[in-house]
Amino acid sequence: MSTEVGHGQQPDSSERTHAMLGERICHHRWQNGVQLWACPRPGRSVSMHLSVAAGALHRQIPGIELPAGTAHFLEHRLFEKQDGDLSARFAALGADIDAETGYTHTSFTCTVQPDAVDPSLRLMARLVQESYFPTEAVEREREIIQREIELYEDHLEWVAFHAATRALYANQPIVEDIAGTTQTLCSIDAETLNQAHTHLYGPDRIQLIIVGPVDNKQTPDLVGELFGSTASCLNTNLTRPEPAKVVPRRIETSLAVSRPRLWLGLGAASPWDKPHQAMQRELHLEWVLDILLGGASPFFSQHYESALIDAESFGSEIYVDEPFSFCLIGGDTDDPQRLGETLLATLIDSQTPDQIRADVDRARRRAYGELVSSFEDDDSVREFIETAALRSCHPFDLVDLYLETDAEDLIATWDLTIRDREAAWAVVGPHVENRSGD
Amino acid sequence: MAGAQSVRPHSQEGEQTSDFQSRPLHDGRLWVHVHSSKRYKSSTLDLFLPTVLQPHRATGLALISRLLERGTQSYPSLQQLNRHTDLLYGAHYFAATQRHGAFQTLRLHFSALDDRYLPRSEALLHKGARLLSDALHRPHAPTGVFDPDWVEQEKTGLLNTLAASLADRSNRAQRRCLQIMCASEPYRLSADGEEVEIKAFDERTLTALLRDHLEQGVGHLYVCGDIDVDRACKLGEQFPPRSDVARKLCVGTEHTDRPARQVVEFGEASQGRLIVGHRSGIHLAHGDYPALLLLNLILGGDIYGRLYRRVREQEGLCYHIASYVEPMAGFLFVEAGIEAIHLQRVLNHIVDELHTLASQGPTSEELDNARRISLHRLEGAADHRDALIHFDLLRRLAAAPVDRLRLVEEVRQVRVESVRDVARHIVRDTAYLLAPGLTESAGGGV
Repeated sequence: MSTEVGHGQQPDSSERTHAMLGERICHHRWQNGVQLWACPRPGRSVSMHLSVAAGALHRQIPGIELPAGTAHFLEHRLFEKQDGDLSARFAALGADIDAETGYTHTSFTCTVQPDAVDPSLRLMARLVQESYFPTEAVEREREIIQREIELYEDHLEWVAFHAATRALYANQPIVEDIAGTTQTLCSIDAETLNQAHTHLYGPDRIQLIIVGPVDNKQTPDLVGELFGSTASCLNTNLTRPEPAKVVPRRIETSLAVSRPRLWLGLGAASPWDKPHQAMQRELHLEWVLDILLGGASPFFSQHYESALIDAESFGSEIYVDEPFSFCLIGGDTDDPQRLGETLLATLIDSQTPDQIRADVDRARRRAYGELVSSFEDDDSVREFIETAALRSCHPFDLVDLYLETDAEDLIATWDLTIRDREAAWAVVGPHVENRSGD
Repeated sequence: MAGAQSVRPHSQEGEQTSDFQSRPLHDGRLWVHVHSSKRYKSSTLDLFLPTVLQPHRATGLALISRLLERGTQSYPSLQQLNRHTDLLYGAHYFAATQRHGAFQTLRLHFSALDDRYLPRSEALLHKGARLLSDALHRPHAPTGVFDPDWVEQEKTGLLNTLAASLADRSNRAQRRCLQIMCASEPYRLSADGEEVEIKAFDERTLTALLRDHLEQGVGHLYVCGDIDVDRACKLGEQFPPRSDVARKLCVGTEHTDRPARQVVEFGEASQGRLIVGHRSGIHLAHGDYPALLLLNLILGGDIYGRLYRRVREQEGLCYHIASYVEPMAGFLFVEAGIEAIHLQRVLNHIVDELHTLASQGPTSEELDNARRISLHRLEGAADHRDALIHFDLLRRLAAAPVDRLRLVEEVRQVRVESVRDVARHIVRDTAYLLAPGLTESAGGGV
């Protein structure tokens, strides 16, 4: 059921209830582009997530190319304002606050008791709307970020992920570290941050997700007061990141770990202009990989027993966003070459359609359990809404996708995204020479 | 102040805390703890079989947990077992060994959707209790002992897991600090076992060890979800009684006057990993524990902590610095990623902040902020059953009479003087740095 209530300066609002899940989601969109998703549900704390469509790949703004790492640098420096550090004010409210920069978004997550929702929202508005970048603080932050980069240089997950993106995308912007490099950090100054903030933190890029015991009128009113009245005067299209082009190759990176990590990367053009299709592809790919390689597959049993794979590290990850669409498959192994070849043989096996048809009911039951479990706690509800909302879809449409999927949908996705794809190889491990090749 | 009885005394009828209704089964050898709530869409079963961490035994139990995840007599292969849980609408099953202070628990977990979200009634929780009971009492043992092929595969698997864990620089630094700090205490041991002990086990010794473990001590079954106590106890009856007399497990910490140690070891690392271990003598059952919780937040609990502001924000010496409390032993740890040349400066800052807190106490504003954060987390835990189970099991193993809501009340009462007094009890034991270097050092002290 859906009710539309748009009028004048008020937001366009709609509300949908999902009978099977017993959940209600309200959506509000103001004229300046700010959006609010609210999922009122009982509980002792409220999870608030503010996402700005400004990430590491947003490098082109009118008149300037931002150095790599600018969005991340900006996220670090937003907490300090002219009247002091906002972290201390969040603390005074008993709020837990966290921030994260990704390829296409920067997000701020605040968990707070219900009676502190209003003042916390006011702080979150200040966090993203006010800019204050004194030179001395920017210099000091550069050192801190340099230490952050160093900290991750021997982190296997991080190193392996970056090796995989380099294997997929060669020298395109997506392969650069979200935090930048020592060199690019040096070219980020207060003026760079000001420019980036002005162009990338407009209201049309801001989306809030609030889950928990919130007032269905008071909270949207406050969001409207804080975010809905700011003017949007900049052209978002000028700052869109370029789509990344898949150029698969093999990358080998040396790192002192106990065993090599292999990621096979399969990339495709992003179907971002058709958001529903992007969501479908991601969901169907998850099912296909579960059937072919998941815990109940012959592949998993056979190669777990032969010790080619282990249960802790083996798996797959799917990334679909505006400028890219790829999945990584692999894990730790003594023999990356054999694992890669075995995986590819399994993924392109001509018997796959029959295997999908035979196993789709098991996969559906498993996926159904995971879907319902996504609505168990506030954080997973928030993540579910975010996944759908970032793809311009209603979260309950994603639920319906789960329920409507059949074997032929999965076979079509396998045919399109896996069957004839050339794989990129990334191997990270001890006694591996740093090299890349076509 | 703290330590007042907030839990009804044990009896054969059971007990009631703010979060669980508990009943004894099998003459008190298995306790069933029930958190009845319609908040969730699934229900969970968590069986904990604890013992004090012991050399050799800890490794054997870690191997057993991996074997229990492989299959049962009814589902004698990994594929069959995984297929079975998937068909139960994506139910989750796992077996693991976990560490709770000086204790190692063998944990079996099952979770599945409630009937109201299924097309028809499936009684999934009942099937889950059967699965956990079978895993323990009817494991895949074709000749009366564990399958020898599985045992060899899991020995290799555990070796790989331990090696991967130690390849993570932060894990390795934490592990080494505890080993050095608690050289003669069970806290030094890992619930995942020791690499050098793995080869000593075979299918017979592991089968005998499982049998022995099942007969010792008191087990705890936590049942959380849309279920009442009587139905939960029926599930508990699927687990046969343990035959040994229930024993109380008790572990203390060493009182030591030895001077603080500083150890630097070298390994391949992009940045130094510093772990500083302190002893406070204030554990979960201690009256000053609420003040220790707040002191931790004030010192380095989060981005508003003193160490974060001073060492990171003012001095720019690191990206990550934080402190945390080990509640069973009353240890306070500070961890940071630093350059080795800054070791002494960072250590001096930690000493200085603890000294200031011990002489002047926190400011009222700091205390109020820490109290709000702590109350938010303790009260918010009511919406997270994993957090409730973890806290309840810890307090039982620590024989702490305080339950969660009582702890909330005690946190409200903490004064500036209490935090100052707790800071005076904190003594540095070991400062450990894993420093980037070309040569590995097994225990060089500086």
